[in-house]
Amino acid sequence: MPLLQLQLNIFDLPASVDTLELLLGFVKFLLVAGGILYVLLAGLVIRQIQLMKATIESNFSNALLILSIANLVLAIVVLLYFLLL
Amino acid sequence: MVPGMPDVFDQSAHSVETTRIHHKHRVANRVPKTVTYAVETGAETPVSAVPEPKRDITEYSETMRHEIPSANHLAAFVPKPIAMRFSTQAPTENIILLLRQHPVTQIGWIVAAGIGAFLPLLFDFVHFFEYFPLSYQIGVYLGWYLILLGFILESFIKWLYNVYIITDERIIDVDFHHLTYRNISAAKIDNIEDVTAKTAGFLSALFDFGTVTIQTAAAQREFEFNGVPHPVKVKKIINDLILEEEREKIEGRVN
Repeated sequence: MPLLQLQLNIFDLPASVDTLELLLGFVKFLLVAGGILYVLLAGLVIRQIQLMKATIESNFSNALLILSIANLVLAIVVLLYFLLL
Repeated sequence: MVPGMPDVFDQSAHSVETTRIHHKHRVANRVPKTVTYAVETGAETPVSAVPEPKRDITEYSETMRHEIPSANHLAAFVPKPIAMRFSTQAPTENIILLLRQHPVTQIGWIVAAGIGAFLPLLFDFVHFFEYFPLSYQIGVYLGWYLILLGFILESFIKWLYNVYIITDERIIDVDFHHLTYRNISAAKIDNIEDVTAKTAGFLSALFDFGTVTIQTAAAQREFEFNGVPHPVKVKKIINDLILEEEREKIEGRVN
């Protein structure tokens, strides 16, 4: 039996509602944990850009800082979405 | 020349080659190139010394003479960058060259990101998430693209801030390997002992990039400018700076 078909058959099993909820709960846990890690990473990116901006003054530093702040805002919005699932 | 002044102060009588020969003897008794004497009093010792301004790179480097100052700080080869400074730059220090790795060396993560952007299409193809509610499906896609965005941002920042700076006084290597590791090391030009430029491989030859290795007598013995554009040109520029540094010592000009 091809592997692809086998994977699909796992979902074809007469799963109870509890099993599906358990699976969805696990997926939500992964998403929220990943989201929290990403928010921390986005904060770290901002900090590093601030440090590098102080190290090398150039004409792209401000644009990059704005980009990194936008990235943090996006990460927070996505994390909130994951929490509301 | 002022009558009675010792020959040693007559710069016109000494070519660069001649002064280089006598460098060892003269370096211990450095005298500024431009001096003022108390002629009226007949004194033979200088009463004031006016340091000659530092020469511009275009005056002594044939290679840099052909380079146009650049305001594009995102390039991999930025000669005489306009409106750029670094934190430890001295007021009289000028940035000659800013280098990054050649964009071709970044092809690996760019291709990986491109593949990653189309990977969710595979999920659609195998109907992997069709048993999930729509909100979860959106969540999984969002999570995937967020990871991808983070990967692209980190790779780009790593490339952008991993720079090599050559000034008329020092070489500076700013290492930015990943988001939690940063290392800045520098060596004075007069501490440089040897410079080699290496180009190896098909892509290196095609796009003219390679590694410039600089041996120094400083705390950090070796500097490696990896994957930088025009390695031979970079080597020439550093050699010009070393020669000028020697001339400054010989002529007693202030750094």
